Amino acid sequence: MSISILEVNDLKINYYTPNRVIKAVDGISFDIQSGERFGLVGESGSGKSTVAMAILGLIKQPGRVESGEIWFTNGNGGEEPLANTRVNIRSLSLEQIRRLRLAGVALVPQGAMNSLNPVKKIRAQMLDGMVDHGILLSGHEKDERIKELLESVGLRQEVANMYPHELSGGMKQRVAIAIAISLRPKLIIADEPTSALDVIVQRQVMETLFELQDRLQASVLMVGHDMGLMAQSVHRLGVMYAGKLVEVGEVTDIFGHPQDSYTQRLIASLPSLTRKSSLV
Amino acid sequence: MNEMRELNSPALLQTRGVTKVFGGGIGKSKTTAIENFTFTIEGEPPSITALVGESGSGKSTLAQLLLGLMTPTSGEVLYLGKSLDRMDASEKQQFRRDIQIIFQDPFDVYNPVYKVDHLLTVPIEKFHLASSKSERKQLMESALVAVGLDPQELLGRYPHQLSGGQRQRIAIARVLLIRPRMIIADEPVSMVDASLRASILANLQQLNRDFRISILYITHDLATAFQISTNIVVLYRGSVVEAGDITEVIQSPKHPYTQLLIDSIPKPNPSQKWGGGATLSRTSSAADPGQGCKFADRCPHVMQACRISRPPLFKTEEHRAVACFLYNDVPQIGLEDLDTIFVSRQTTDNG
Repeated sequence: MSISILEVNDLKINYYTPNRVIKAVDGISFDIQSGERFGLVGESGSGKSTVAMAILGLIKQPGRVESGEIWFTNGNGGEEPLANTRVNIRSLSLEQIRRLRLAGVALVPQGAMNSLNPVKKIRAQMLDGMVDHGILLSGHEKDERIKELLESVGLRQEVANMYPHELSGGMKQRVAIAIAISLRPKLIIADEPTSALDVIVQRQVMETLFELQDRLQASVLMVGHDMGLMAQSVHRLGVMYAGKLVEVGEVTDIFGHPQDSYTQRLIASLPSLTRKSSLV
Repeated sequence: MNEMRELNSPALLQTRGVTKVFGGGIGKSKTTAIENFTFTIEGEPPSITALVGESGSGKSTLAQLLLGLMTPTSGEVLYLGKSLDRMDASEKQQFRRDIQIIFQDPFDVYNPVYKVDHLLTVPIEKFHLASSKSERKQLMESALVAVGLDPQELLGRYPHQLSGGQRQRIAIARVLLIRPRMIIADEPVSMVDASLRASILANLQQLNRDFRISILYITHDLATAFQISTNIVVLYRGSVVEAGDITEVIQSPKHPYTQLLIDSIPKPNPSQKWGGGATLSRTSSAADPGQGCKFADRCPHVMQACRISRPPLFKTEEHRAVACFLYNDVPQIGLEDLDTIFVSRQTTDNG
């Protein structure tokens, strides 16, 4: 029987600007089962990335989580004191959240080109997270670990001694995945992980991510706006519009019989390869 | 269409056997970014041509060569029939005005310490487009209105106060001010949110129709290319693999690489398998293809002939050429005759 890795209940997040309060996330609820890939799709400003940031405990001023719960269940092998526990991320201390990130919930950021440090070698950046989480390794163990991680994302071990500018966009995105899985998290959040890559590389990167997810028996929360990519990637999908979840369901149902008019328009808005439509 | 190009008048922009090689210093390996590329952009009738390829295919190198920002290793780029490196100062000035670019990143083209007005006032001054302050203001406002922006809302603001879509449209307004004859748009929508892409592409289409500007649309996104272009050139590692009528190429791709590209587009239908269920080789080999076909290492149909020599262009239909030995039963055309297969707008305009 599968268990809920993540349960979000009636989450509300506001941004406070000098003139008004923006309800970025306006009471949304959903859950993600173990081993499941769940997608959150919507246009920019719909609040999808804000939800992802809240799960990582990264909502900062002028944003504020107003109410709701984010329950996370860490499976076996989680870092103490969070192993085998069900916690409300909202009630954790900053230190507890820091320990949870990467080890329990990890992020594959949007545009890895901007998330890697340009003046540090890949090896050092891969070790950062491990060091930060108090994992002590000997020099030899470090080499082994890095080799293993790079291999798992289809990169040669020489990549470890390169700088980010020496890598292509697809390779950088693979490095970002290698870092995200380095502590074997139970939930991987992928925020538009391939939006800057061309289609062939995109497919290679997504295939790599899903293969690793299976191996780690982790769940994936995929955030994005590309309905085509969602259709090919996730099991269940939530459609967000103006801070609300307008539709949630199995991906085959949503694409087969979209209920909400916004979902219908989102699917129809994809540029077609069979029919030219007038844009002007 | 009544304004036909006069016979024998030179094409707007042309490349002749252009090759660009990077590296090759002592102990360094060479990379051929563009190889023997001959191609013409006509100014009249104004066209929209898509140049498509994955990262590393040489498409941005070609843009730089066309703009004269880079000189070819061999071959030449011609503007109105004259090689870029043989133009005098006034011809250069005219060239720089006639051929404009829209860059991929709408964040990088702005200087963060200047108001967005700066991007518009610089070309007005450099090209002496306005004689008074009020004329300048009027020019800026009408360009912004033409791309669907509200001048009152935008002028006087700083780049960080605007969205990516707004910034990219101001970049288009800037181009419109200059009234060039051609725009090179290098991935103009890849960094813009999906919901805004259509409006930016519509702006480009409008520039083409209403202001009679030819557009070279450089992208890796076949779906948007299909929506706005008439012809397509597919590049793979610096060489043309397939070219011609975009509807034919997209709807029944012939080159195995074009087929792979189209199969790799994630379809909004969960029961239609991504990539047709075919598996991908993990790494695109960077090995030197020697004299053979550059795609041979990744090609599911690779044959003996592919390892021996580069496939020439085979003219499979009136408006299509494919560089693949699978089609060696049809007539060949020379690389320099690529232009002859393109569709001219009058015959296809679906309005």
